[in-house]
Amino acid sequence: MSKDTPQPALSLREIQSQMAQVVMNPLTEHQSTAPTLLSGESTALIADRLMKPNSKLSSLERIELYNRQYWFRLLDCLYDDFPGLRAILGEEAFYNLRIAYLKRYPSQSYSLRNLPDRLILFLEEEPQWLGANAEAGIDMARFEWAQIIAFDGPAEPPLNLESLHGVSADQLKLKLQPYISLLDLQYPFDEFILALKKQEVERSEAGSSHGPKNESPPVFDLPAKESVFLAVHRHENALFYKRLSEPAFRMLRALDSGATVSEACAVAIKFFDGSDLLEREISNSIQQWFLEWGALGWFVQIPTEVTGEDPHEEEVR
Amino acid sequence: MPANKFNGFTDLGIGIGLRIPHYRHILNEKPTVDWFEIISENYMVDGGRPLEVLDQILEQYRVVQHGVALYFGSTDPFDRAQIRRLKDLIKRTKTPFLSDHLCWGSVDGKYTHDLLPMPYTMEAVKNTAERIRYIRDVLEIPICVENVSSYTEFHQSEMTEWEFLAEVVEQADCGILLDCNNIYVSSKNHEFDPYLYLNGIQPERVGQIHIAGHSVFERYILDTHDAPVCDPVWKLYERAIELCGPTNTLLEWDAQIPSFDEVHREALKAKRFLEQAHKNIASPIPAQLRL
Repeated sequence: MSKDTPQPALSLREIQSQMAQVVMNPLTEHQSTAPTLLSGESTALIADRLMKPNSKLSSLERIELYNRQYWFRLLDCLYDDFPGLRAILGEEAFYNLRIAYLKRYPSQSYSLRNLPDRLILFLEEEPQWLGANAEAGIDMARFEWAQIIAFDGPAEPPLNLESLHGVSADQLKLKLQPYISLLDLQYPFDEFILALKKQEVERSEAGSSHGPKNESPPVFDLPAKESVFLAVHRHENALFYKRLSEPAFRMLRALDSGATVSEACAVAIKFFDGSDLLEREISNSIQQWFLEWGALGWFVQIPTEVTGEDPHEEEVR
Repeated sequence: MPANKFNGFTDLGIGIGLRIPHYRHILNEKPTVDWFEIISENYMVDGGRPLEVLDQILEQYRVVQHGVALYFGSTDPFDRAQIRRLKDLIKRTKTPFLSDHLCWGSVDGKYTHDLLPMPYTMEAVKNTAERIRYIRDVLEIPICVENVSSYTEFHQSEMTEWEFLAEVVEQADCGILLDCNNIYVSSKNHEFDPYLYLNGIQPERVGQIHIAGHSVFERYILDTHDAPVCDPVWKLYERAIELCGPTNTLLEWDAQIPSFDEVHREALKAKRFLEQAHKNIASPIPAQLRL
């Protein structure tokens, strides 16, 4: 389009839509505005159409400031939220992954807190961004997203288990606090993240913090594979990762999926198969779990249906 | 006048932005501060540590909410869940008024998370004023809109930025959060006289003033909030206080944040201008001596 040609008036929405296309268009490797959009349209033409130049900057250079701000801000946000994923992938692979994610799933929320809410979905759809570490990368993303939920997710009034005395375990359903995530990981990422954080603190105290983001902190070796069952939760508003035995994990997952306490106990007992524990010891273990989970405030109640059965027949201990 | 219907008739004094690196100092030391401004979106969450800290702050201090994501200038419909959360937060903080920016940031359902500049057109005035009125009515709280720093201008603009701001707040019947640093940054980037800006808006609508630092580059200035307030911005602030009277003032410091005490000391530099303005109210200059 010639600069001398009178420009048709654009509506407010058209102006914003066209500007957003340039602002959200990926930068070049030199952190400049790319010459074209993904559609092939020239960014310089769009800039000339929308923006005035001034004595120091062309129209394209002026919109480029916003183009850079967009990418720097959003990439930084993911950088801060996923230190574990960054550590196992390395800077370059993690940078490329973040760009691919934001291209595929631009933010649909007013809050940057929700920016990674489709990252796990993206990694399942496009595991190639994780290279040889696809399995580990998806596990780590699940673990780090769970921490975001545990940090500021909703809480409901915790259930006092003593108030359930006399309620039949065949009818009783319990659900978990919505801020709790149950994870079955193939790597001991709880220990990995704690070691990573410790190392960052030590480097920071030694004055060797890596400073500007996107410089190169070390890539960490993946830990040896190991099945780990975790509850990512918070207690008194501090974040915790709690390791669970497999029977305990299966039981909690069954409860959270809507099983009654009896059904969830049966699920757990199946996972004790092959252990040397006596029936009484298994029963004691389950009882102990409930006491501990109850004390942590993990359960919230689902209303029970009242029946005419003897409430003392199968109590929740 | 400084305490007006746009700021809930408040005369709060000098506040600073509540930021995470200062949480521990504030909760442990309980420093004397007139008021804190919070970024609403940081506390529009369901639970956990952010709300626990906020509740502890609210026990001790006056808090005013400032938002970054209402995007009054956007054309997308408002997100109802966002408005619901904002309303819940307003109930929690009892903020006397609510501020957000005169900008847009989302289109076609996608969010840029930036404060993007408006084309200064009558269509944009109408759209923006309608949205401000809608939010004021839904949230039932006075609204002040803040002028943003900008780095570009649109061919289609039909008026200056200050004419646009004045027209929007007139049509919306809302207040102004006057950011002196943003006026300065934009005046350098767009080569206009910042005092024309100050003289072009309605001082009686100003409910709050922001001051902050910025970063100067060879060909432009960026609004980075990572430095002390520079002298030209203090001079603009002085003039703004002369025009508006002693108005709620807030220092923003969002990057490379120094100690709480350093931030607070910088904010308190505004005190002498506010005290002078209070004196002027107590003993006004006779009309015949005014120019």
